Amino acid sequence: MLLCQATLAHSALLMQSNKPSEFAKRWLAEINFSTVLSAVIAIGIAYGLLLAIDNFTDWISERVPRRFRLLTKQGLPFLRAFVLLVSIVYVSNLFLNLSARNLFALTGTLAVALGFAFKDYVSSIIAGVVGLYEVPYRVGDRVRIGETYGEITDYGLRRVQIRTPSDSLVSVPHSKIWTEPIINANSGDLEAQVVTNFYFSHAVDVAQTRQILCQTAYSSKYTRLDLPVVVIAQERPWGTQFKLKAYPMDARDEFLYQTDLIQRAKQYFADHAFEYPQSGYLQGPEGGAAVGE
Amino acid sequence: MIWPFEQFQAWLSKQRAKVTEKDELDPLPPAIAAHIDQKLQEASVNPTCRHHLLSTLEDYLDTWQTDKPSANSLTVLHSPAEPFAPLLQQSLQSWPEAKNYVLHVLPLEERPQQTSSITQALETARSQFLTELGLETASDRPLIIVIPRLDIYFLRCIGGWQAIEQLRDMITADLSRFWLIGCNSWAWKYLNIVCQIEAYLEQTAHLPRLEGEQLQNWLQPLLKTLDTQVHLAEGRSQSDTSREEKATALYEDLANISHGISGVAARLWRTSLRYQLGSTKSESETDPDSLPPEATVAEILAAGSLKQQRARYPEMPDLSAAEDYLIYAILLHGSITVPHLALSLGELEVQVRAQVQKLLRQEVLHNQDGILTVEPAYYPKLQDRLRQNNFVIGGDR
Repeated sequence: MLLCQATLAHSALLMQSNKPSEFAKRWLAEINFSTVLSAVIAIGIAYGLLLAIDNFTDWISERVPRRFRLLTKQGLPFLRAFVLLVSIVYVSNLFLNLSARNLFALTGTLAVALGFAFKDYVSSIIAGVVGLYEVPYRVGDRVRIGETYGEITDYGLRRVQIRTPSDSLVSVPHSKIWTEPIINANSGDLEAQVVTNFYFSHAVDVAQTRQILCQTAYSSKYTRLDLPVVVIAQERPWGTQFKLKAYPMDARDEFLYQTDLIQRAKQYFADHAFEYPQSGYLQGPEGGAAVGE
Repeated sequence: MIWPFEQFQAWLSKQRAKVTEKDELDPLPPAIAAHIDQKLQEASVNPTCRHHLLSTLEDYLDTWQTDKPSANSLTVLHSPAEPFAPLLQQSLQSWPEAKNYVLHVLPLEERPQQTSSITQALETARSQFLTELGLETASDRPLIIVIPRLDIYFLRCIGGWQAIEQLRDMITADLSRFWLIGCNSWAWKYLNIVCQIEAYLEQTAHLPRLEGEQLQNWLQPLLKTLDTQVHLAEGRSQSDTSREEKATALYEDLANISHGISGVAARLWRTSLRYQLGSTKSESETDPDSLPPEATVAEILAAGSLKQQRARYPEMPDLSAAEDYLIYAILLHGSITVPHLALSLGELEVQVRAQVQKLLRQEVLHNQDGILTVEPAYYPKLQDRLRQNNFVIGGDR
């Protein structure tokens, strides 16, 4: 720390002194037309590469078999980070003398400057880099961060983009991983358990209802048949709640899957006059629609 | 210096030219196509499959009658692309041992039309055959009840496999009858998940995977009825020079790409047959239009020649995820009508009908009298595609 402060102080002295050429000589490399052109070309190539990587990853991930889709998408942040890192190092090296001493001083200066001016921004970037290794979420995962739930569609330098069930895109800064719990439904796998709630009156035949709900899941075209289907019943003051837990073949179909389950089940229950709870009792956090969540 | 990309482009052009050259051969003229289709229809049952089916049945019947009366059923599993019902019917008709048994085939041939009352209709069918069985129990000969297609007894909907559960309980309740059941392997796997059918009907057998020689013995005689020399394409190996070697190589290829499934092999073999005009006459006489529409098979063959190419898959159209679900539902049920398909998919019939129309145009599906099936030539590729996309599919062997 002391060394850092000393270096910073020394740099400041250099800047204040009447020897700008000495400062420039120490920090800046020789800048000419060729250097500027190289930098512009490097930035152009990096930009083009980033666009190409984004588009190619999107294109290929929608064409490979479903089981490889997430695997394909999950390489995207690493490729992006690699291109950015190489470009930044290359361009910095064109304009700056990046000796060990200078690098040390520069880091200190940047740390102080960014620490005051762009604290949150830098925090998000660092969290994004940490996230690459800790992997609390990946592209294609279905996560809940704070109040936001949906599929991660993009992993940027500073933020992730989440597509919500209402098809809105929400940007969430990576820095949330410092403070918020991250609830990840599938953690890189294609399968994510979907829980669908059904509500009935206390008089319902629990065994029969469980059987019907199991059949509901097994008859849905979306169900991953080789994974377990479970029905859990819970007693509530207003009636009996059933949770149908099953896996769709593709986590992306989560909401279509729930809709299909509810549609099939409601049709059957209507045909066979199953009794729902009286609406007056359905208040509070567990209330809402008679069927579904 | 030639850049690798240019080299690649040159290679690609060469390959494309080869394919184009192959495709320049005409498809079979209608008269010859009709002749071959008719012969194929007459010989639709593969003798190897028939022999295997009957020998397996006899083995299991011996076990049932002597050692283990509790094992009173045999389920023969087959690919959804295999025409099993005609195979079973013809096999039983030609079975020398049939006279020692009373054979009773369950009357249900297709799922009932009214989707809302499918289980009731199945129950009616069950009552009917129980009545008929009651009349025949006085016979001294052992009774074999035949269900050619178990897959038509269920539909993927709530309560859709109730009839399967009823049949399952009937089979295990009365050990004095033997049940011979045919079921497509995809439906069997599904039924095993939803109602654990294999725990009750544990005796299963698969149809054999046909080898090249078996396919050759089955299909090659059909061409001899045309009374012409069929030119054979070169095999993969340049060393296959004689006609026999070329034929062996062609049928081994056919066995490989058809996965040894007779229904698939027949379709791929049929599409591998091409017609070439003018191989025996001068160039001026090789205009396809020069053949009159009413030309007989002999006249057409005199004007050109038949060529058997290496069998290959038809080009698969781009399929969406929704079409994957639809095709899986058809393969799961073996064959199905549009209203049943809509019920199984949980979608509106009008939407399903539109998707079906598109697939019919692309010739991925067939529609015969309102019953949809998947074109067998696409089956191996569809099977791979659906497996890769996490669908639970049955093994063909």
